[in-house]
Amino acid sequence: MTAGIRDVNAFDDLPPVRPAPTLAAMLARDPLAVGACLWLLVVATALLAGQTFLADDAVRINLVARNLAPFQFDANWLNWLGTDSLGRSLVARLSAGAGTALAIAFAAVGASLILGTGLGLVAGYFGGFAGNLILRIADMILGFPTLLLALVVLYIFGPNIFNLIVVLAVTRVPAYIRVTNAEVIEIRERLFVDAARALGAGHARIVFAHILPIVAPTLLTLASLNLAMVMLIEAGLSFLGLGIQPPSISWGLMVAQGRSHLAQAWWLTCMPGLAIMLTTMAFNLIANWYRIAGDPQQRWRLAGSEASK
Amino acid sequence: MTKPSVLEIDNLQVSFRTSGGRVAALNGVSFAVGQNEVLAVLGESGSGKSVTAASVMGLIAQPPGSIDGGQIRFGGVNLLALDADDHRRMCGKRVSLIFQDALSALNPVYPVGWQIAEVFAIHGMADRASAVRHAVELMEAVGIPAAAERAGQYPHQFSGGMCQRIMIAMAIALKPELIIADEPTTALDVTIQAQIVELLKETHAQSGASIMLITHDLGLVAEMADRVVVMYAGRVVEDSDVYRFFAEPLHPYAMGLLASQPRIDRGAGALQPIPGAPPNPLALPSGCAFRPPCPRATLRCAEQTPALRKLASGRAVACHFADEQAL
Repeated sequence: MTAGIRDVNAFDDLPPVRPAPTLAAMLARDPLAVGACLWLLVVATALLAGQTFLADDAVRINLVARNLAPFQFDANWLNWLGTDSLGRSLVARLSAGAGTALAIAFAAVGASLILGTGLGLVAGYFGGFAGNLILRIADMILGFPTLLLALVVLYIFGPNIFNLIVVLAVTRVPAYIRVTNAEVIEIRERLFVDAARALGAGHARIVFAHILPIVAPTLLTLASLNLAMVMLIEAGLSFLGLGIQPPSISWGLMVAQGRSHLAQAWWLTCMPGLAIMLTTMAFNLIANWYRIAGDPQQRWRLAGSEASK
Repeated sequence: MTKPSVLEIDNLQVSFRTSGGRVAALNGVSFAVGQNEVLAVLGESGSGKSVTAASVMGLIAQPPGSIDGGQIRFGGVNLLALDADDHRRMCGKRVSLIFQDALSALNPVYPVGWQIAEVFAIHGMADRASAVRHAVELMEAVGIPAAAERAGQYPHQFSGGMCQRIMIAMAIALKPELIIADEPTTALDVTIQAQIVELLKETHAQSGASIMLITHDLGLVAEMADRVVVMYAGRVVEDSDVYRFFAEPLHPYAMGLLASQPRIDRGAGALQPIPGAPPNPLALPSGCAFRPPCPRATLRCAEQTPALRKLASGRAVACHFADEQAL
């Protein structure tokens, strides 16, 4: 009982106070995330161009320049990535297709992320009858092959972009429900949730301020993986004729259309395929970076070298 | 006991559903916390101390728990009859809880300053900017150096003692009438324990709040408490002021507890343990739960559960044979 309570020497074991690194500084420490950001910048530029001055080039037929191979840099720059069997520029078509591909992927993943997280939070936090109902419905959707469900629904309701987004969102929702539910069940038993309740916090505050921030990085990583999956399912559906309908352009559809020319013109499938792969990888890397940057206990890995000793 | 009470617990019964059957955690607990009093609730693990605190704070999850009877009156209002929202609004504001494991009781993803400020935000007491300013003041008040910078740090950057100081800052933020401290020093090493005890005593002296100190540490009881409530197997077995408790415990269990502690004024003989193991809550012995290890048990103890009787001295005890010694 001799130690004074303001005995500063008692805190010698504490790490020194250092300012939290800014987001930009933490991004600079991760070269892969920087690369991912640069690629997304390229995609965003292409997307804008594809909606504006490249829109006409994407559908302009030029039978003289059919099936031009890529990387012939002496030709018109629009043909640097090759042309398709009607002589249309792949640069322009990839740019125009970026809009559709990303809009569908973002809308579907965003909708399933929000819906699935919301339902998963309810199921995990409150449990009970409602929670069981949500989980069983998720099981039912999971028990159905995604592609089969999409085929049936799109066949009945017609293949348009809105229906496509709804189908893709619904089939991805169970993953978010189950992941959120599993995490919340663990977190809601942690002591700080009880502590928040003892301080008078209501259910909404506990769920959104105390539980959701801890689940969020996991869900964002899952969402970045699902962006890839959704783009590929869209490609599959387009290939089967129930996805994006020509003359609309989308990366998935381009992969599907190029398939019949694979032996003569590999670039027709490989270029849009590469675009899908690089874009989803970029989202993945950024989600991975955010998982570390968003965690106070991991954040030091992205701090300056003098702090990470 | 002459002072008016802040908290009165009356015949509280709580049980939990388990795979092995229904476990009665509290079998009719009654005691009161007086104004400006430090009441120690003493008992071994499983005696129901923490369940009592959780009941007051509305932290008993139902199911598997259920509150089967009794009253918890706080400021004259029965908390068990309040609806959940009204009960919640009292928690943190008029009665607050300090946890044993402060590091786990803080949210790992928020800076500590944010978490203290949150207390004001929950109760709509201040806008964010002034809440943060209050938080820094509170951190200074509980003895955290360089509080303004530390406020931006996360719980994992703090030691256990520092986290406990943050918990205490949160508990006293809204000047509650009652602070429940659930084994506040158990997870800390002895030098830090001493600092936290000093801080709690200072807090008590300055705020005048009542403290309900849940502990199994007799030293802490002697250091801080005005009065002691001893719990055993979900019942109060003795309720006494602290001086007479240490001088002359009434209940055989309390005697056993004191005899099992090393004491500096008693020489270095062998300590006397309480024989046997704590009772299995799924199969409590009939009558008095302390009957099996009790040196004074008779047939009467098996047939009749001793009630908590008030003695002329103002103390209370739940033992058929305590009178003989109380004189």
